[in-house]
Amino acid sequence: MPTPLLRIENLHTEFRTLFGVVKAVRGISFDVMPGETIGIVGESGCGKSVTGLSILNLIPNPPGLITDGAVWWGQENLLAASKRRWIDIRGNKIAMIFQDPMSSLNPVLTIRTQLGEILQVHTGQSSSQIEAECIDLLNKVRIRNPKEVLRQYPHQLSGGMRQRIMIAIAIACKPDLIIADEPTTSLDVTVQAQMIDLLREIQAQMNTAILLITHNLAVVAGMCERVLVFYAGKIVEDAYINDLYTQPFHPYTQGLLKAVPRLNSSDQEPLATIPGSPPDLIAPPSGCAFHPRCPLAMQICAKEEPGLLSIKGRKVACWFYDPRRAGNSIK
Amino acid sequence: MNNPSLFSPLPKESVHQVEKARPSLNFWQDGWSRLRCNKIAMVGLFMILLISLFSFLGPFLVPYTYEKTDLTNTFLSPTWQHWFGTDELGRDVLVRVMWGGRISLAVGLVASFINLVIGVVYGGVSGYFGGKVDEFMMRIVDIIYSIPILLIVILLMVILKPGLANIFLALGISYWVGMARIVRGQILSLKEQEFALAAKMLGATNLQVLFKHLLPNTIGPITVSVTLMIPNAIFFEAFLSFIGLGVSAPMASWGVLASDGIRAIRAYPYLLFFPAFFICLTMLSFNFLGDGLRDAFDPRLRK
Amino acid sequence: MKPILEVKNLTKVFHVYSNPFLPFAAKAIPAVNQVSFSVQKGDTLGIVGETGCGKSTLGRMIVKLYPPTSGEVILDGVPVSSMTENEFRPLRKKIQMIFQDPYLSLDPRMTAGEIIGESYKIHNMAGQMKDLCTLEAEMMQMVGLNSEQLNRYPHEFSGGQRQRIGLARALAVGAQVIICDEPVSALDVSIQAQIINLFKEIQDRLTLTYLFISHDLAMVKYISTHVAVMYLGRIVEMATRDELFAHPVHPYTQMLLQAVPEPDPAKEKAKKHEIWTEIAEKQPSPCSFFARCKRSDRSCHQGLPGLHEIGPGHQVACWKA
Repeated sequence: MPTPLLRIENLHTEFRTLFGVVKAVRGISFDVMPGETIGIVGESGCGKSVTGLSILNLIPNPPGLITDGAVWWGQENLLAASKRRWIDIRGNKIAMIFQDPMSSLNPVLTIRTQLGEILQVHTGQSSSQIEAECIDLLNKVRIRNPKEVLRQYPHQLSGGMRQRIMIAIAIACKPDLIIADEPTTSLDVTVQAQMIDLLREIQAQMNTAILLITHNLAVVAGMCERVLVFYAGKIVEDAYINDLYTQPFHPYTQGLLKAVPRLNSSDQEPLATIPGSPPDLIAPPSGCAFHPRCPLAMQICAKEEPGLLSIKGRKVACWFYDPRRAGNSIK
Repeated sequence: MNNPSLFSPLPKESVHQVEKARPSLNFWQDGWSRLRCNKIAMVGLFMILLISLFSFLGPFLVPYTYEKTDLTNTFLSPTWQHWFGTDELGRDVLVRVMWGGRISLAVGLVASFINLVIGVVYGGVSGYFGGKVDEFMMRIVDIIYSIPILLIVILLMVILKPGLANIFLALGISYWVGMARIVRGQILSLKEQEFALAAKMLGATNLQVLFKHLLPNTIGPITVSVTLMIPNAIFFEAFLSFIGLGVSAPMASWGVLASDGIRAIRAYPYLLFFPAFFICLTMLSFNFLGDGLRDAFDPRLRK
Repeated sequence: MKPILEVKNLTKVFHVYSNPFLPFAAKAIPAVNQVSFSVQKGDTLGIVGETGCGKSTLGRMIVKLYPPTSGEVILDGVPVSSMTENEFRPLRKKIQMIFQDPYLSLDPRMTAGEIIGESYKIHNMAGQMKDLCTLEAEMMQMVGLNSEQLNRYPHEFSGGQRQRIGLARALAVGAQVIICDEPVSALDVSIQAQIINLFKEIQDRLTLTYLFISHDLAMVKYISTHVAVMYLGRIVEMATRDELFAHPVHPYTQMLLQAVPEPDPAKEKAKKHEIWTEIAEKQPSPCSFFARCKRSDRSCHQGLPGLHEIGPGHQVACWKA
């Protein structure tokens, strides 16, 4: 059994607000193998971005707090790591790509300064070595005129170019894991397609593990081997991508896949909707958080939270698949 | 746990839409609840209330009037009969400080209100219509802003002769420019927002959009601005009185009292101390409150 | 049959002052450039394009929020571009807009009822107070909201509910043409489906005409009867929905359709896109798409390709078609 690169165990993160305590992440556990690409999908408020930030311990301390759980990186629990250890980890072993490249890049520094900064901090290279490395990195992210781009400022570049710079910064120190938080959401669809292909190529070349956080099920289909579906701060389904898209088990996943209009469908029946709206995380519903909106809801769903059941090579958190349910044909 | 009925379908009546459970808060309630958490601002508010009570109700509780002189009891230090002592004409300083409070607070409020009205209308029109109108109106503001306000006020007072009503006038027409700039800035950013466009698209006239949509949404910064204008007005009034252009004797404002007090500072420091103390305390309290209001109404902290 | 909305050679030029010291050296950027189309009553014209193609500006010109630099908008046979605001105001009842941002398109200081009722008040259509309340309640119910929530403020509603209020506001005085500017882009996926279904249902019930502006091709395909593809201010291809998606002709349309991801892993992983950034070496040509076009050659320098018919109801602006 190969050891996982990253193991999240029972992570709980919450935020204190004027209205109460928002439980953003309520018990997330999963593994990431070396070189694996995993997609985390869910709608707004499901806790996917918070999970990404929690792994890197970037949750702002008031108002947020990681209240429970462990993040295992090899043998050590990152949540207990010292500040110095974090400087070594962030950017170097685990890198992050954020959603909005304009606000993630410093508008008053040139690209050369920003890209060089991470190399300066983590490697001891001289200025000319860093310069050569920067050009190499820009080539890796397929920018045609790297020397010119290095001298420019973020506002002179398009959204797609800036996102490539972000990717270059992320891969600069050859990290073992890249967490990409909605990297294509603010981009045009043609640029998005380029980004996905670029990330795929980089992943293949460097064998980095990638955690792709997005709300777009289609983008995940192009990149990932495995998918985690998040709802209300918990994982509701964890499956390999082909299995998930051909036969989704959890009613929320089924609803999501049916609610997305397809380019290549010829049928014109109305989009299936999931009634209601995402739950309030200050006072989540009792039992399974999805039960008020679920077409398959049963008595037990309102009473107790289902754990992750392992069935047929995937994990589902749904009472419908409990072996004790009469008429359950799926074993 | 092995009860098979647990797995029977949930009846639809108990599957209800999860409504937003938060209580319905409008703009003021939301701001107030946030203000309450800010201790310093609450202290400021409390002090303002105390000072107001002191000034407006106090004179009824003190057995002296502000103008009654008693030449046998001049320059008394604070005693149990005269808590703040007496001045050179034997008048009780405590009640004069209270009256001073009335005048200073009244000046602060009225002058700020006049500034508010002029500034809001001017800034609103300038910001909304934009273009050449805005350019022209703002150049006027720039010119007025570059002249020291104090000079304008002093000149006005020299022309108009000292008196309470004239103080209102002089202060009221001198620094509406700050308010105008703030309002203009707010309007400029709000008028491109989608709800303003929606109002235009529904067919609202320009004035309707300005007064029904844009200006109500600037009430936050306007309130903060007014709250911070009041101590300035109080200070200016005190200054005017200090240099002899304010209210005339025997009426007492804090500035007049301070002016009287400074002449006797070596021998009778309490005569300066009490009015000065109250000026400082009032100004500080309004500043604390104004800062707290600015945080409480900050739209980015909503949602 | 006369089209309910017609647009002829609509153009909007913005002047960008790149140098603050030289106000006369402004660049003229045509955000919308000679756009023409017509829409029949009951149809939905989907307008797709990426950022910078001018689709939002086009929508706002049609509702007369921005004055056009040239061209004409004809609403139900009446040319409206040269009308003054006072002349146009009664016609505003016929044509309304739904905006993209559910959080900013509603005045945060007004209740839902006031927002819906405002259009009645502006057009003097409300009788007494009681009538107004009944009208507002009806509108709320029509869009699927609880009429008891008339007194709530926008921040108390979810994003999807706010878009419903936006729709109610547009329908309140009987709009027949509704310009939808990315109405569901800011909403969650499951809520998008709810709102789009609502739009379709209301359209069928009231025989509305929609102009659906979006960058989401799959959503446009779902709701539209006709589609126009815009690039840098011009329409490059326009056809009925089925025809455009089955037989895209313009290279940009093909590029767009290829780029849209589908939730189908096998298909997506087999797709290959050009990942290098563009070369700026190509000589500029009158065709706006020339620099990115794979099929371009010397014949593309002959002039600006206009829209020409290549099939029934199918127009393309390309020399290679």
